[in-house]
Amino acid sequence: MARILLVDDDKSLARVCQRALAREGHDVETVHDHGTAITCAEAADAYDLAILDFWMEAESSLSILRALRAKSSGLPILYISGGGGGLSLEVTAALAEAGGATEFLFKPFRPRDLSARVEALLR
Amino acid sequence: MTPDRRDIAAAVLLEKLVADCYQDRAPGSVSRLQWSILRCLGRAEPAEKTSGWIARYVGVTAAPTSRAIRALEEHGLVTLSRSAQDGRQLIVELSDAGQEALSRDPLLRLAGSISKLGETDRISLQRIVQILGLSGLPKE
Repeated sequence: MARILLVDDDKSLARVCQRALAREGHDVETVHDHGTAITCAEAADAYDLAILDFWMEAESSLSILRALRAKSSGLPILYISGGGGGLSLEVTAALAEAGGATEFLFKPFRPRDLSARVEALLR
Repeated sequence: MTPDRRDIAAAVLLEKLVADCYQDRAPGSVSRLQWSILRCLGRAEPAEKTSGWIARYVGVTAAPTSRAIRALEEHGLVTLSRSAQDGRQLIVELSDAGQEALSRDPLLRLAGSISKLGETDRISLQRIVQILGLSGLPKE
């Protein structure tokens, strides 16, 4: 079982992801806003993996990524996004990866795609 | 703030660095858009490899994306088939030659230069291009 931080302002998608990961036996802490996510990032070492949506409340979540990386250089961080902000998916992924994201999963994805990616990152 | 001489010089150097990656202008060479598509296919999940999704990934409209995909097919770098769910969509797959071509991605030369920077400079550069990439270019 892994402890996973899931940051997404889309509550319905977060619920689907949370359920899929809980079915695999993981303990998922779900956060829907920037402020709480930054607070959680302070305790980055408490997590085995973090999942971040790129666009949070019309802002990028790169500040959350920076806060997580400042506390833990080795934490696997999976980014998810379906695009937005006038940026291509290619640029969106590059922005996250330049900031230290470990992997990128593009929306829409199936719960099993997410589970497979998470399992691979936890290995 | 109006850009000064050093800002303009930095912009010139950025442009030159990227342009130098794509020196191969011979007929039949792979264009920048086509390289973006190959990179996209190298990382996409199986369900994502439709022409429509690729257009979203590279941030280009359907027509130029379709032309680039057809050119890649002519170069033998991708294979095409019709989607079973939506006959209007093409499923695009990397061929073995396309997979092999990715190891010659011209951007790897620039990435290699970045990787050779000292750790502080490397992290600074990654951070700076992130800031510039997120803010984008000012509108005319």
